[in-house]
Amino acid sequence: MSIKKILIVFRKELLDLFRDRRTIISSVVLPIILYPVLMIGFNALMSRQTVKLHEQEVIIYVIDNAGDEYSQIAFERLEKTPKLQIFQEIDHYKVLFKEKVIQAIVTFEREELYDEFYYLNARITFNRVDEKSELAYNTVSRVLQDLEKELVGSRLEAINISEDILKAVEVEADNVATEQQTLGMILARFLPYFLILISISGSSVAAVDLVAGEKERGTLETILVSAASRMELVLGKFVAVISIALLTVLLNLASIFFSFRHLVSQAAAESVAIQIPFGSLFLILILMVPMIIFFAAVVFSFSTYARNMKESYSYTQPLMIVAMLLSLISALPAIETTLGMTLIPVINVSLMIKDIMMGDLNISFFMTTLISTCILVVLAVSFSIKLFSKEEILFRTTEDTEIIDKNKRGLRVLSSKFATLFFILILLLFYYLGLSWQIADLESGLIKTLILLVFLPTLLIIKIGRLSFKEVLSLKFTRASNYLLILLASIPIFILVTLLSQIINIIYPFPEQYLENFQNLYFLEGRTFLYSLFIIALLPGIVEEVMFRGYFIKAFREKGIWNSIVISAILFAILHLDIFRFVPVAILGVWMGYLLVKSGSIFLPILAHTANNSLALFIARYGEGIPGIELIVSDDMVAWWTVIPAAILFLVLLAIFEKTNKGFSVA
Amino acid sequence: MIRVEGLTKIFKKKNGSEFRAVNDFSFTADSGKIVSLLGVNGAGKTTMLRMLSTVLRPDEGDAILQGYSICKDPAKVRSVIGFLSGDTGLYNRLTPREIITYFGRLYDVPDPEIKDRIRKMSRLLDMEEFLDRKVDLLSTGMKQKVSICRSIIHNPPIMIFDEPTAGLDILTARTIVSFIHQCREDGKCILFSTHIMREAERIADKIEMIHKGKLLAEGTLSEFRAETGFEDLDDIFVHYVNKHQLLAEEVSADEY
Repeated sequence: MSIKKILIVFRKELLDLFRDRRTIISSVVLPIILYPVLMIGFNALMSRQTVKLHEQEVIIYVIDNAGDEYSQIAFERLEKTPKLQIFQEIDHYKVLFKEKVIQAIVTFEREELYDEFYYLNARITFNRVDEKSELAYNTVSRVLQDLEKELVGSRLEAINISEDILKAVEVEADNVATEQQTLGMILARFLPYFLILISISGSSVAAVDLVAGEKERGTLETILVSAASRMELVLGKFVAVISIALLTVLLNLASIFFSFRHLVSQAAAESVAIQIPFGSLFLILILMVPMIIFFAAVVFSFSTYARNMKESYSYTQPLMIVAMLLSLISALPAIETTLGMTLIPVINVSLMIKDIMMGDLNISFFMTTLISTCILVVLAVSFSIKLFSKEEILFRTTEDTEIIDKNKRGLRVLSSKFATLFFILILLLFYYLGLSWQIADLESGLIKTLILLVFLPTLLIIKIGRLSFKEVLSLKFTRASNYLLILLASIPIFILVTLLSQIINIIYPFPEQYLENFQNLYFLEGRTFLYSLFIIALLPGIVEEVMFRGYFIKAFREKGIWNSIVISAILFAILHLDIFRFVPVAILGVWMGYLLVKSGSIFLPILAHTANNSLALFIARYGEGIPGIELIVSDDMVAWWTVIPAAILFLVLLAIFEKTNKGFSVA
Repeated sequence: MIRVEGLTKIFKKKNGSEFRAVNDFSFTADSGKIVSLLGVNGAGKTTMLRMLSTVLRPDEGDAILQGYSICKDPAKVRSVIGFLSGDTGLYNRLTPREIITYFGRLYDVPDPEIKDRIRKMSRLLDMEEFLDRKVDLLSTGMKQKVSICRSIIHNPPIMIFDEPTAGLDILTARTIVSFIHQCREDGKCILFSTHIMREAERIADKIEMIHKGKLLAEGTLSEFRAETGFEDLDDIFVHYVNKHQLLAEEVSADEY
């Protein structure tokens, strides 16, 4: 690989991109023109709107049920108020109010106090969503409040008391927010969202052109035949995409800042010199650079995979929507930056940008965000480079869609396509039926879900596919020593997975309600331990293994043995509909898939599954009653030191298992 | 020269079954000769040429081009071949000079030499007047001249043409054909694929017939005529295809 070649490719791609009107418009012209025009337009519109509203004349309808001195004065004052017209004694005033000819209805009532005192009650009927009606309300209430002050003053004067006696507390607003913070708050709301959006659109224009575009124009083959290596080509192109995206983001950022400064300084009463927070800009850029590279890598992969530019653009759409939604989360008022949040891609960067703009940046959160984004970048970039060197991807044509042989129904059921559809159906049933069953009644709901939504459907599709139950479900015994080995192994596995859950709990604390649900599950009301064991351990052990290790592993077998194990484990975790336990459940799924593939017997994973759930139940119910257990479990926590003996024990058992079960039993 | 030995390319279909696009194919092509790879659409011509130009990796067998193996030394192989196809695209937003310079640099040709070669080639191919016009504005014939110039900028000893005249009008096709002849005069080794019998008949020194990925027959036109008794290459080709199918049926009959 030579840097010189990469630079040759890079220079040519930049030249090519900058001759493209789309690049120039979306990366250069739009950011420079858009924001100033938007800001100026917005500004002009806003001030014009306010002026117009104040200039408008409003009409009110007055009903005087009091007919006394006060109502007389009030009426006179209203009459003298400029831009206020008064209607009286019309039959259909309510219709006129509805039709917005009249903006408010004022009703005067006389309310008696004690002795000779009385006061005027003025009810103003108006419509707050109508700006003009609200203006009428404001005008009338201001006039009447002034009047009240005056009348109270004259009453006090009559008994020789100064008006000042009414003053007891005065509220004075003293806003300490600096101009920068004000600017920051406005920007913090939408800047993350905007930057994420821009970095995707900026990189997609270039990436789509550089790979899918070459496919479409028929130039891809000529450069692949040239003396440059794939690596040099992909790096040259990649750097070009990143440069364009970076340029787009930089120009947008600068333009947004300048336009905002302009807007804020105009809005401020006295012209304050507002500094552009260059420090903030710099920090945002440090975060945006890996984010941009990440998006560029993803879009580049899409472009490599796509057959043409149109297809490539259509792949970009879902990415855009997901990223937009994630970045919007940072704008939600309840969301605060936590360690857990800094590990979720896009959300973390958006939150950091928001924090930087608000001026409360936490440096350790900043670092975790940066590091986790960089890890993501390494993964995405190496994936996209790998994809570029795959010939079946680079030369994907439309011909490879296969016509399914309709006579072979059995084969169709055991295909990844069918399995995917089947899983989606089960997932929907789980969500719409299973959850409501379990909310209605936990115990019967669980049994119903397991039998009706997991067990029976699996048997049904095997039947429909005219397949042998024995074969698909691996109903075959394995050697006796294996059962013992796996039973033993379930203890260290349980400990390791529980420790992992504890780590997750630290990063993403489980909600109270969530833990309570588990307690309810483990302490089924008035049920014996054995009965709970059946419902929580044995039944799911059999039923879920039949579906995931029985059917799904076989159906995804065409993707390769390890892929089928991992896919079935991920589906297994998804069906638990539980974000907090996703990773632990998926790991258990991989373990059980591995057991099936190694032994060729469904009974082994059933045993492992049942043993694991039994252990959880046992610890929850009797954990504290066993002498000596507090060394390992206390306060619902497994002690951290157990990781070492558990890992050693597990590895030893695994080694024995590997040695006694060579190769894979499921072909 | 090119020496192909048992080259095989297997594509996996979505249902997991295998498809041999090129199946145990061997032949040689000498310098100063034009060899034609003749076959119907989908016979495996493009796959074969893509393997020789190292864009695809072979699953079995090897090919030696100017002493370099496509499996062991793909980078060296790419530097000794020029590649041109009928639907070769160009970068619309660049000028011919920019495109040719770009490829020249990718082939490590020094800049002064690139300049020199562009001057000579453009005089030869009569393309001086549009050398600095954007490709977008050029006619198909002009574009094809640019492609020719691009493919030969590093003066490769081997030229590979994939259906070079497909979709071109007669005048443009002529430019290509005379370019192929020019290459032979320069002593280059030329391999070109086509499905047009007349084209193979007219320019090839030696014909390799490919059918369903396999070598159907090879030889010169006169050898074919002598062997089959047919005059026309069309008839000769059909004759071999029929013979091949008969053989295949016999083999499958034997299996039962």
